[in-house]
Amino acid sequence: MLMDRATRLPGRLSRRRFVQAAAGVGLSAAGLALVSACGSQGLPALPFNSVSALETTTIRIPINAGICVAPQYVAEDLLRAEGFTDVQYIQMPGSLITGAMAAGEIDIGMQFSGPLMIRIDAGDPIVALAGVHVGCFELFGSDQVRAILDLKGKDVAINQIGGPEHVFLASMAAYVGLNPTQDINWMTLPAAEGKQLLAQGKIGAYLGFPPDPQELRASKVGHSVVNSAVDKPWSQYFCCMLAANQQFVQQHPVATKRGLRAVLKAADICASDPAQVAQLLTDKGYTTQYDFALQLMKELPYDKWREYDPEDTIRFYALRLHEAGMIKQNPDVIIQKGTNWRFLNELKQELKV
Amino acid sequence: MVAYLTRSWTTLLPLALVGVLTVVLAQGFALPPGLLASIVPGQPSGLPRIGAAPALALTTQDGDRLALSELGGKVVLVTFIYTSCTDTCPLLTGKLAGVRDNLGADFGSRVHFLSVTTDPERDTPDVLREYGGRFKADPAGWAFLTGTPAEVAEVTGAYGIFVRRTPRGDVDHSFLTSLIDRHGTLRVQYLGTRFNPDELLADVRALVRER
Repeated sequence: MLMDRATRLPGRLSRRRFVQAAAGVGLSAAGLALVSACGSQGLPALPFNSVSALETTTIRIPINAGICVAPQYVAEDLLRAEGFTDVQYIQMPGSLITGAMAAGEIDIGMQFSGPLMIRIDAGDPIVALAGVHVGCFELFGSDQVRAILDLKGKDVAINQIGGPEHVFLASMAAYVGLNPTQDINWMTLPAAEGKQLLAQGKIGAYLGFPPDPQELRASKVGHSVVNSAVDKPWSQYFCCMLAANQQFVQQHPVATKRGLRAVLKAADICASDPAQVAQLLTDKGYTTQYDFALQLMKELPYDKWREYDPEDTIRFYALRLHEAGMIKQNPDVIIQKGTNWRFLNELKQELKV
Repeated sequence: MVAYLTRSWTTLLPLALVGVLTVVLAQGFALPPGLLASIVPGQPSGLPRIGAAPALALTTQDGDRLALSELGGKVVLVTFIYTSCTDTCPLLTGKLAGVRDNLGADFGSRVHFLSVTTDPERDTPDVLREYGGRFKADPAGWAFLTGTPAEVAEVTGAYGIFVRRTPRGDVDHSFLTSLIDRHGTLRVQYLGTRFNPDELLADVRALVRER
């Protein structure tokens, strides 16, 4: 249900306020009578999608080079249809998204689950709202690395300590019993340089996010050690989740739900029309490589947001990150502090495919 | 011993029957939401109540004005198409025609379909009548609606449909089919065209039977 005031406070909405609210959204007299007649059933007073119910018509979303977050780009038109008249895409590197979200510089956005948990653990005001898709990261190894355990003592290229590549690879290392801090030689390099060193056999492994895996496969650089879209256990958990600034969620519950609805609808479109989405990503300049975008849209399971439980993802990665010494609190605390599945649970019932 | 067993069975048989009945009923109530309600009159459908369905008043394929409020007491299905669409819209309309065929006597009397054009400039009532005819749409239960561009834009916006005309003259729009109960409350939406028509049929029937 829309989380307007009437819904949150059933039975406390006076008839005068109800009539004012309904008239304010242009409900016809007959329609008003129809809805009013249903009041005894505790129905919400405002029509679905009424613009007046939106607490804000502005929504700010991050944009970066990653195209696995395609649903939030595809969502642009859907967000406008939800009543947002000012949809702002704010350019920033992926590593800065959680910080910007915590600071209230962006309202809502897709981010990798691991970095989200680290920020939630640190007390940042971020709320995970839903899992969006599974498995976009892929570990590529040199000839010396055939399994995660082979990373022991090897050089591994990442963009940034604490960035998504570092967090996911540290989780994977911890899962197989390695100490990611002591057993792996982390090299912080720009992505292009990391891929080049892998091609030259000068590093042991490189963890790529789209479109890196598609590029590496096309150029036959290294080999896939773990593909999180298909290899268990990684393929059983969300990679990217939709999160929001906590204050935004608290102050704008209707906008939050509509933003989430637009992104989840867009995820369904990514799953059902990969070619159309790849074309949109190319046309709008999110990528210059249509073929890689199409490959990605076909490979990634964008249709799992109803099926998988995002809380399982939080529990799984929180335990791994705890083992790796990257978070201090247990999964229950992370879930309590930094998740809100209410909107997702409603949408699972309301939106069918 | 035999007498003891006989007495025990006479005592236990009713209890066993009650037990079996309890299990059967429990299993019955564990059926997916909508399925039981589609069979048993008055049973709650279990479908969510999203909000009051947005009002709409447009022109039918017969040139008459029709408002959603006039369909009070009926379950209403609202969808969005345009007639010159050659791929997805006919699939969706065809899928709804299949649901109509399975609704039997409920179609028209208890269930009404509304297909709203997203291309009002080209989809006049005459064009819509011809389009509906291709799907054997009976106007008594299935209205194809058009209006001024402003009227249609208001309705598409209210139902969360994005519409954009492409340079080629096609109309890009999102596919969202909305199911509204007899009291005018939006209950569930089906995204795209690949939803299971049997599930939609079960949901429609559940809302027909719901008090």
